[in-house]
Amino acid sequence: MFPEPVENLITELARLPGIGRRSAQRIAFFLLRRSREDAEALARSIVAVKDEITFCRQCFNFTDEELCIFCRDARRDTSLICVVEEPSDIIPIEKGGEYRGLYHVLGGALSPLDGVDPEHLRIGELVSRVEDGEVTEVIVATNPNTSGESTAMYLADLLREKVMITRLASGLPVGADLEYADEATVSRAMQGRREL
Amino acid sequence: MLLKKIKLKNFRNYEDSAASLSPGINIIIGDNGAGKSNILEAAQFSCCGCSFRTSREAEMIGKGQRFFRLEAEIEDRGQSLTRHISYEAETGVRVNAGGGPEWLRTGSILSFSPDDLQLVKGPPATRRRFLDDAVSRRRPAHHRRLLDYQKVLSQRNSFLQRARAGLTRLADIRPWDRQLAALAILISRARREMCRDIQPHFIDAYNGVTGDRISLRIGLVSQVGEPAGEKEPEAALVERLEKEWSKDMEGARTGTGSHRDDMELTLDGRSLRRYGSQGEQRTAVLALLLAGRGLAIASGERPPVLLLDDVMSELDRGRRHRLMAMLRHPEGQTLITAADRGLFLDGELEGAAIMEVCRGAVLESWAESSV
Repeated sequence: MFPEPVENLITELARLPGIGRRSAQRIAFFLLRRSREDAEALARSIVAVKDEITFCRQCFNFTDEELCIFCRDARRDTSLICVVEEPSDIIPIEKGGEYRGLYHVLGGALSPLDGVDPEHLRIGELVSRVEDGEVTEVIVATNPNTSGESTAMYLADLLREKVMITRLASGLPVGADLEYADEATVSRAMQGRREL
Repeated sequence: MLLKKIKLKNFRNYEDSAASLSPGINIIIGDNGAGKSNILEAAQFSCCGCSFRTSREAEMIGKGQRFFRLEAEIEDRGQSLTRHISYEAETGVRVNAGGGPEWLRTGSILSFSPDDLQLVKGPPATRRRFLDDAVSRRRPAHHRRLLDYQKVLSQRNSFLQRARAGLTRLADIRPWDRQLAALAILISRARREMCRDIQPHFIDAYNGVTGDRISLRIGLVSQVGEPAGEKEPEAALVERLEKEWSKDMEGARTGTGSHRDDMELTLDGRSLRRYGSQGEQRTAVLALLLAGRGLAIASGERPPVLLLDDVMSELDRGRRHRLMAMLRHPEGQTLITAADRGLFLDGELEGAAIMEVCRGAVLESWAESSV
């Protein structure tokens, strides 16, 4: 329907997560209207992330240096490790502003259905970090679904003898009405209630 | 919950009709092939998204039409909601506008037709479904637990397959064992409690219809949480799963768990599924549905709507009479089809709404006034 370069661009854009063909068309036409400089800036920034971004040698978060911004920040508490599935899981924890320790990115969660076994995750690297001695607590922040729970249990079995291991609490969202919470969340919150 | 009105468009033999329903007993009268059962099917499909007759939507489209559409007006705890559901043959697209809350799909309707003895004679999954729907009515979290259980079970079976192929170490199955056990304990316990709570209602309903005094029992046959009174049922189940690792790995399937539960009905100490006569089994299915609703009403939960398809012609006069009396008490909404008004005695229709259907049209409906 469109000249081939435009078609190619739409096809490429439509492969991005959350972008359907219609949105891809809108973005393509938007880019066609912009100046050459704008388009080049976008193209360069895409290539740059591929060229310059790698995984942190210690925690496997994204980084443009050998260590990520958390691992090289001397003010962070190096005795705490928070284990997450993906680098994007770090963002909400950082936004919370409460946590000052380090991270460890597993690169997924256990899921035999998808062929993900323990050796496909960065679990060995986590064990090495714990065995290095400085860590006093590992906080498991994998997702509260069946895969995330299995991963948490697996890690707990592996590390229990070596270090204190804790799991993020799950329950009611802050500021929400009890009335609108879904039943599964409420029963979880009920099970995990604590004394006042 | 209350079904107030169903609109049918190109549904089976209805081109464009509407049926208004009353809160108590609704009797749908018409000749064979007039479209009585189609009204019940429409009621069920518009609420649950499934039909007691078929699993293929295309069968429900009227002759020569391309789509059907149903609209149900529902009243629930003082709130009204409208549910639209439509299906188009060409695209196979089913549109479910309004969505509706979870409880609608899990057990807002209980349907009975005399040919369908699956609940007694069919595979255990049918009986688990009956229990689960009843549990979900009182405890919505149960539905979510079942979904999680299903997920964990498929992950575990998939793990067994990978272990058998030498792709992973069998001992790493432990996290799946523990999750399976934790969920299984909750699920099977809830089912066991449901059997216990529904039993008195079942006995009342069965003996209420037959006029007999027969001893009946409903029990859960389950490997989970047995023997009762075990100190740590979850730990015991984990242990049992571990003992069966190698056996499970051979077949790449999990041999123990809530997915093997069954509800057992016994009549005078005999298994109803194995030794019950056709008549006993039929009465038992009917009694189970009455019991499901009786329990919901007694516990202040949402009573499901009862759909009884052509049940009257199967029962003798005495049983018909007793059934009608039971449907009036405790009160709940019931839709009954019957070929002939003569099947009812005058007094039995007191307070009931009567609707006549003929060749795909709802002719008239009126409420039988009390004499």
